[in-house]
Amino acid sequence: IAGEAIFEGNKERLGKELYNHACSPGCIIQCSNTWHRPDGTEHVSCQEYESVWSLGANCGIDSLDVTGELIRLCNEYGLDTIEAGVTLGVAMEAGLAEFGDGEGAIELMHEIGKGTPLGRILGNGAAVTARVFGVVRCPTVKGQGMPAYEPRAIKGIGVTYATSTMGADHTSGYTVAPEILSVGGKADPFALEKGELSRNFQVATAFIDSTGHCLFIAFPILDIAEGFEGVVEECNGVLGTNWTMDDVNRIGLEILKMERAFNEAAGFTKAHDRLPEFMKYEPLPPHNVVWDVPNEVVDAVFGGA
Amino acid sequence: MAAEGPQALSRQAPNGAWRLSHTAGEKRITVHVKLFTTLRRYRPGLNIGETLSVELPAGATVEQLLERLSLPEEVKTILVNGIVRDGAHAVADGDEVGLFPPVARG
Repeated sequence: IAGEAIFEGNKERLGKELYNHACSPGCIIQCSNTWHRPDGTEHVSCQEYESVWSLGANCGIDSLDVTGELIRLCNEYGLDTIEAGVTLGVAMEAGLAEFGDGEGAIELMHEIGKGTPLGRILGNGAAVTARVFGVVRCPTVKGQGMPAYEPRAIKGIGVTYATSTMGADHTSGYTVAPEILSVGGKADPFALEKGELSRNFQVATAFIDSTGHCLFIAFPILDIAEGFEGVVEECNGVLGTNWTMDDVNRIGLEILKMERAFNEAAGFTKAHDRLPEFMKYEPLPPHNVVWDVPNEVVDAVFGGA
Repeated sequence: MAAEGPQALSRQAPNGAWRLSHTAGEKRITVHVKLFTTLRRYRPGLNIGETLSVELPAGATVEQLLERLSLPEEVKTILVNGIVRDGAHAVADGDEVGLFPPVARG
């Protein structure tokens, strides 16, 4: 179900290689795609990495036709694909379907669309579903389902999940870049002292998000200093400012402070900056590691901010 | 499963002369390599999910494995048995090595 399989599957069904879906003019990454049925007609757009993980691998489902249909239903019903996949995983843990049961997953998704009592529970997401069915293994923070990166084995992204104002959101501070992909430096994924790394990524991300750029520009500009400076110059050109890279940190931090002030006013405390308890005592194979980053490290991320 | 080898790995001897390492009695190991995304095109016929078996001298590093494969593209991410490693990491018999070009996700 990886990207290679999407490419090969389309090629087999269409009889040609398909490069068809740049969502922004001039983009050289072109991460979007379309998926085609055996008869060549378009099934869905798009089979994105997180969506295929959450609705596929996370649920033990290894068919791109099934993940394609589940994504199509998310698009039709207006559901976030990560949250929907994490919710289906929790539903499978609760026994509503077997892991790997694609047909069962599609039926559960239709329950949401029909607005049945079960569908309303599932439609409220993973945390509500886990609470209703008494599921302990519920991978959420602040009520938001975790994406495709396991915090027990990648500590920095766990610090981001814990401290992000939105909950378990990888895009708010993607430390996976240095921890796994060797982008923006290198960091040992198992090392516990990740407070500064997570904060730096969250600050830079808050700035990039505010520019309106696609976040995927972060991958090249984290490794190419002139790229990031170019973005700052671009902002100066549009806004008439004289910002430097120092202002990137200042502005990013100001945005995060504002978000955290909003959360505090809404009743969030550091007790909400925590990963699910089961991750502290259930080791994750094949690494056999638990979530062991001390609370003090997590609380220090924005402790002085 | 495709296999590469047992062709010998060339390396420099202390006297500066090139020699073949596959000398009699030297211990050999086999690692199983997965080439991801664009790297797979350098081994036509290798299907998605298939591994390439590569024979190396015992104690060989990932760097030596990369020299052996001589892929004409940057290898950015190296996973040995699912854990991120660098070129200096010594591989062991039976290890699964995943190689990625620069990629981004999420």
